[in-house]
Amino acid sequence: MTTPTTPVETNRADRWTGLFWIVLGGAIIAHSLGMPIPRNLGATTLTGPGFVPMLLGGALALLGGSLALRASRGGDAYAPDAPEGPISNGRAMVALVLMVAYAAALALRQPFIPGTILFVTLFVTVFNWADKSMQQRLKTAGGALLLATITAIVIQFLFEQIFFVRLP
Amino acid sequence: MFDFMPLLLTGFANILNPQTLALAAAACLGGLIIGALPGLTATMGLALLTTMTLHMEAFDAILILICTYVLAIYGGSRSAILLNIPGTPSSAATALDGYVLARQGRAGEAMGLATIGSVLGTLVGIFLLAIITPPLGEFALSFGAYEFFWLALAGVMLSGSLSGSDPIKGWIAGILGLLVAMIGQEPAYGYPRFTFGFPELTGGIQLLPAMVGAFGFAEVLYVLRSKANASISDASDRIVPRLVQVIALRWTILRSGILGTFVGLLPGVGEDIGAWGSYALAKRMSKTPEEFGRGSVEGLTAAETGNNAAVPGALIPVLTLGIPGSGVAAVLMAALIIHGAQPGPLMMTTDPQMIYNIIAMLFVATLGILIFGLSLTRLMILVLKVKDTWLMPVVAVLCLVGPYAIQSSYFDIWVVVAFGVIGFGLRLMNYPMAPLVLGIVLGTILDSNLRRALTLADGNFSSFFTRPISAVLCAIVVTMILAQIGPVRRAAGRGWQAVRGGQS
Repeated sequence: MTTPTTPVETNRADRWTGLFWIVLGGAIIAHSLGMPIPRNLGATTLTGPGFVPMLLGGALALLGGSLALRASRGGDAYAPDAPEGPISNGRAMVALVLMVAYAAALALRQPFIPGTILFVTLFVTVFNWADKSMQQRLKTAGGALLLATITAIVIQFLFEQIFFVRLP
Repeated sequence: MFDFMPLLLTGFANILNPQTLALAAAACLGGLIIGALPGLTATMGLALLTTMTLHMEAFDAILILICTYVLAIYGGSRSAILLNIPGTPSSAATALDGYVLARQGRAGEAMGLATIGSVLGTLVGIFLLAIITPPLGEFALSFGAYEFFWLALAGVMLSGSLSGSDPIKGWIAGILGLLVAMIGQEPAYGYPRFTFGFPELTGGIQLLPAMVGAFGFAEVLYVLRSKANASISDASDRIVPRLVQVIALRWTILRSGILGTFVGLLPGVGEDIGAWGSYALAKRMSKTPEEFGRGSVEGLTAAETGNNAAVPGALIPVLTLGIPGSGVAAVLMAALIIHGAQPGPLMMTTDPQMIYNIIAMLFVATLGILIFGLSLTRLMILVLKVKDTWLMPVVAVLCLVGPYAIQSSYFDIWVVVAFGVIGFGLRLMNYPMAPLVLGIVLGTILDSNLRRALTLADGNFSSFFTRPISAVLCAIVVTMILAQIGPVRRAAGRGWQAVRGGQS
């Protein structure tokens, strides 16, 4: 996913996301219409479980339509603030992969301390790998391992001993 | 007239013991660091702390959260002044003049004025909270289903209009939040909506994992897109402001404090607009508006006073209506509910002590700003030197572990991931997060009150528009919609110009 930074790019992105909201809104309306109305309990069409989601789906589709229409006309696009300094969505993707892998490890009930040490060490090392000599990289990896160990032990201690919360 | 005094004194007495004061001090310090570090926002910090303090005594947990909230909003000024990066979104206006002052070698003076502005702003907010909450709470008792429906709708729309740069995207974010709240078994007939056969979804999406995902997990990804940490300005000049300088700024502080509190009071608007509104007003009223953006102490003080005054302001609707005044206040409201409090119109009748406890806690947090704000300059500079790439993995661990701890639910870990990815995508596309969160909080209120009102209306819908408060709230909603329609907006603009022309 790239970040739109100019009005033209923003309009293009808005047009597609606007269409996506129309489709999503339509799907929500269709799903809501399929919800049963428990008339035997006194419900009516307006008070049944599907009424409010249907309204919200309609509003989403309407706003998506407005967004797509505005983008198609090429006007009034509010471009995001220009980020400061060099930006890399690739870095965010690397972080996402590492974080999802760690989340999966926790959800699959892997032990907390080894998993956390591995995750933090890898995370710090990967993001401090470029533009460095081998000696500096080894130093970073050593520091990362130390930080990871302290993080894992302190978080486990804080949650379990101070806040009395069980960890995964 | 002074029948609240015993409650207020009890509130202070509850805090004034060494253990509780130590907790407050630790929370103040933690809040200051959370606010100062770019990438750790007040909302994220509060959401994570709520998960950690679940099993503590309710009083201690709420004290920790309030001290963290107040200090995090203040702490954002540190990185805004020293790095030109707002530590929290509410400090963006502070950076405009604060960083210029720092570049002129006046970083200490800027931090000192930001501290005094924040202290006095919070005090103005506390004073207004104390005098507005009781009558507003009583007034809110007259609200029915119609009013609560309009209030929830107006809150989400107001938040969508004001919290980002594009109202349409703000409203879409708000509707997405409302739709998230529709997931799970609905309260009226017990029908499971949008669960698609997953039993984990029957109970709905829990607010805290969703918030930690949208604010914490997404923020880690967003921060790591940037490759470099900014350089820190020198801060070796005098930090304690001179009394004469503070006296000269008295009207700016008072004005910004009052405006910030009332902006905070608006559902879902919050601290950011409190700061920007106060900044804009100070510029309009200033004798030297040309200095704004070029190192104006007036601008800096107005922004910092406004955002901190919005904190007590944002708590007023929580305590009286059960509707949060900002994203951070939404987390605090969730925490209050978890700890057994019932924020809303009945609170003034059933648990007035809680309101005065919160006032006492806010006062202690204000002292925390004064003490830590003026004394920990060196420590904060060290903290700001920590590299994102070393800090963010630790934040990521807390984001994934904290929400699990609420219900020991592995499913909540995936909720964090899902909302993190969605939140990151939405942020890249310039969708604000505050309306999304407010939508999740207000979804149930909107749904149940609209359906109750429709049942009461029994085919006659005039009560939606003719009851006085409903009519006002309806007018606000309609105005916000009309303001987005180009020809209507332009016609209104021409009309306004004509009126002004006629007057001059």
